[in-house]
Amino acid sequence: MQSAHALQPAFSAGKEYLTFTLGEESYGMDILKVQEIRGYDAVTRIANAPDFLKGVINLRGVIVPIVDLRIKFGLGRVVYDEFTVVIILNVLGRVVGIVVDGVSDVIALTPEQIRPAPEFGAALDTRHITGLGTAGEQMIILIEIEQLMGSADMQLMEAAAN
Amino acid sequence: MSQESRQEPLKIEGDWSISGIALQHQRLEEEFTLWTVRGEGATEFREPVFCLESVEDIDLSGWQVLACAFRGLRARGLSPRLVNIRADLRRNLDLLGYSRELPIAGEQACP
Amino acid sequence: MSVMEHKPGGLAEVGRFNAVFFEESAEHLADMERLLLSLDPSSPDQESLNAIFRAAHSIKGGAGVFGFDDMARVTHHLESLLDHLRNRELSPTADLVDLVLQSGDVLAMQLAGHRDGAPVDGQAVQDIFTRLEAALSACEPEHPTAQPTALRVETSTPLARRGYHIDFHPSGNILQRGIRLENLFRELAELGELSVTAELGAAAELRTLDPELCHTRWQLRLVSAAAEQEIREIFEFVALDSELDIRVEEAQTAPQPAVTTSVEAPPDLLGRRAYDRDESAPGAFGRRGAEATEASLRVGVAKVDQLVNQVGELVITQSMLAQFAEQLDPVQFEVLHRGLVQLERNTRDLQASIMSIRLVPIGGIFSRFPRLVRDLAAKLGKDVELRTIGEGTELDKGLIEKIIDPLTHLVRNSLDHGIEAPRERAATGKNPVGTITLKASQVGGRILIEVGDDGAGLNREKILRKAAERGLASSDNLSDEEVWQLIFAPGFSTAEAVTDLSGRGVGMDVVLKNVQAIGGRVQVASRPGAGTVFSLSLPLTLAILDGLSVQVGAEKFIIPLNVILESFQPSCADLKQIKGETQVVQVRGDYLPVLPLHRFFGIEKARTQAKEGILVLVDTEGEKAALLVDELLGQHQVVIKSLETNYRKVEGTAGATILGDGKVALILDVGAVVHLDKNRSLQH
Repeated sequence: MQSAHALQPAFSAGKEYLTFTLGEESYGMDILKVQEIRGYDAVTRIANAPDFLKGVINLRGVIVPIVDLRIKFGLGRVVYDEFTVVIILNVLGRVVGIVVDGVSDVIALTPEQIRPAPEFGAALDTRHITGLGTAGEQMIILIEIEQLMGSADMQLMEAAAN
Repeated sequence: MSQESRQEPLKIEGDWSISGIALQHQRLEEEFTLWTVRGEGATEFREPVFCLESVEDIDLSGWQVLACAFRGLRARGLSPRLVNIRADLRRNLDLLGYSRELPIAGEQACP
Repeated sequence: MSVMEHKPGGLAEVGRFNAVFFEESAEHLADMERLLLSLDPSSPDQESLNAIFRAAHSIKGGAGVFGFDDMARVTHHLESLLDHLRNRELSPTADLVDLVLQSGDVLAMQLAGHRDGAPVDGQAVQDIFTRLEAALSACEPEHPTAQPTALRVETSTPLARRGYHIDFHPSGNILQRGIRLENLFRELAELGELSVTAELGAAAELRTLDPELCHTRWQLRLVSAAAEQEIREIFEFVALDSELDIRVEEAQTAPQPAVTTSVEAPPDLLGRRAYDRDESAPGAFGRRGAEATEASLRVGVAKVDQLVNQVGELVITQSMLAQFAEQLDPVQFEVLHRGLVQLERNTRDLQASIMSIRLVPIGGIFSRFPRLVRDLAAKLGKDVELRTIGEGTELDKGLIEKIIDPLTHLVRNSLDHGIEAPRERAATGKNPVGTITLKASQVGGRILIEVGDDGAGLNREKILRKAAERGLASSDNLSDEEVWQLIFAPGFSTAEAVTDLSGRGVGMDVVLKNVQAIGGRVQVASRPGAGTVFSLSLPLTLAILDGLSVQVGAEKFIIPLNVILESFQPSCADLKQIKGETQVVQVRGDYLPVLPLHRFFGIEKARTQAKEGILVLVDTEGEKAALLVDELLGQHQVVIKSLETNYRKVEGTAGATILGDGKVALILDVGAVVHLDKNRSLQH
């Protein structure tokens, strides 16, 4: 406990967020849900899956589905090159990869630094938005990534299939 | 011999089974220091007795703690004894093979 | 050393640590039931009676050691009763067998209560206890709560007495696991004369002692006629992580007739000694004795699974190397090639050995059914005989667990709907006693389990009528086989159709779904008046598959080898176009539908013309088709990876695998592909 204080005196009650961009918007998610960040490998396509489900990859012997959030939310430019970033998440006991435009930073926010999200027209369903944070000049939309990935319209899970 | 001891027995009370042993161990440990100091000073305290009359339950964990205490006392030249051990506890003690580590004095009442 | 520090890791973990007891008790209960049901009441087999007694005795021992007093209480009485039974003071009447069976049920309930926190019906426990007491007092009025005596008798057999020295050092956590060693030692004492000496660990000092751990090592000396195995069995529940050394004191001639030592033999038991002595003689332990000679090791399933995964990775690496080496000059790299061939053989052998660890005989499941059939038949007023064939057939432990429910459902279904009432059967000239057959066999790379009955058979008209009522797509033109498939449609069996026996609110669609979930398929064959057979076809194991890799467009797929008949490049003359899009190919007089995989999986840039590609002829449970692919790539052994771990089931696939180049390829579920494709073309 004491050592934790010593390490981050400024953010004693803060939570760390990984920020990433989709189009013009900046998003943040709980860093604890992130397993790793990697480049985009060729995927194996899955028949009759929605277009944003790019397919599956072999991640050290484990089969992992890859969701392109850019396609899912119609944001950003959908290209796959050496700069394309995949965030491997650990959510709901599963390993899932998401493709985003770019990964920016890791920031810490205290609850006081987070404002409630207004009912605004974001690309994401507001149900999955926990609030708004700021990092410098920029507004960060904080998302509940676990809830988002588990939602029915992601079609990642059996129960959500029907 | 132990009858001649003028020392008051240490009352072992309550739950000496696994569910209560952590607490009992802590209490006994506090007493223990006191006892060794006393025992080393005066001859009448050379045979400390542990009265089991008010033990509700005891199992291997309890015998172990007592045996450990007895060993510590013996190492300081004392001869600890158990007294007022009920028949069921006695059987348990024998069955678990701890009767050698925990010698029993003659049946005598706690004052 | 505060009190609080100890608690979290301590008593809360009891459940996890007691797994061995739960598992073994469940096995003992199953043994007991199996033996009871196979008992011939008129001339019961002595060995079976002994084995039944021993099963109850072991459960009692374990229950005592782990402090499950409620179970110990029931088994104590049960054991006494079984003791009378094996001593032929009681005969196994139907009532008595029922009582013992129901006692087993109560114990199973109590076990589930301790293990899973399942509710325990206290009244049922009390009832069985009272009935056991009554049965006991009826057979020996002077000792209403008889102590089991038989084990003691063995000690009074002077000839076989031996001195055992037992060095026992249990793991530190036994106290937190709720194990009561006094009960274990008491059991030992029942075998003969026991002296127990506890040695407190040398390092133990009061101030630093962790009072919740066991710091004691025991030296036990037992003079007994019991076999060493019998002594080991007493330690079976704690032996897993204990140091246990049992030595026979050889030079020691056991003290002669020490009949009057700590354990007295009741005087009226002379008649029993004969076989009790036999029982303790080497090798005369019946089944248990035989098992004992083949030393076994209990290993956690997780460890085996880890092995399976690791060998799977090894197979991938090996096939990657093989693929790479193919490009090398065979002459120049002859030694490498030879080495790789050897490596492949070794890998396969290793894999087979590891997979076999997970294989268990299906008999364990079959043995649940005599009881079910007996009880259910009685309830329904039917006479049914259960035949089981192929109990030795082995399949993956993971599969075994998953077919219990579907099999149970099918057997209930046969009893309830298949087999007719005795009078009805007699009226049609059938044997009034119906037969249900459970049969397991290995057919190629699959396991076939059949549940058959000689009942009335499925009723075509009734099924069609009901399908229409339920709004299911059907027509009178359907073949019988297609009609039978209707009963698997979701919503076919509804609450109204489901009796409390076969139903439990579950329909055949759930059976199908459960079987399909483990890569299996269900087929039905039925003849009016003759009966119905449900066949479950299951993969041998969940983990490995021999497959053919094929290219379709940019994608690679694996087709399981066991469904492939042949593959060939068709000539134009063999191909016929029917009804526009559908093509058929003629193979030795048969016309088989051509199923283009690119169409099924929506793959672009694949060869769409059959004459340009390759046809892979497949046969899944009697249905043949020709799969159109671009190219054949090669034959591999692949490790099946679940898509559902991180994703979900994908239609027409049985999972995925990782190829030598590290890419993922989907494994075709050919049966599903053929069925789905047929349904799709029916809809068009």
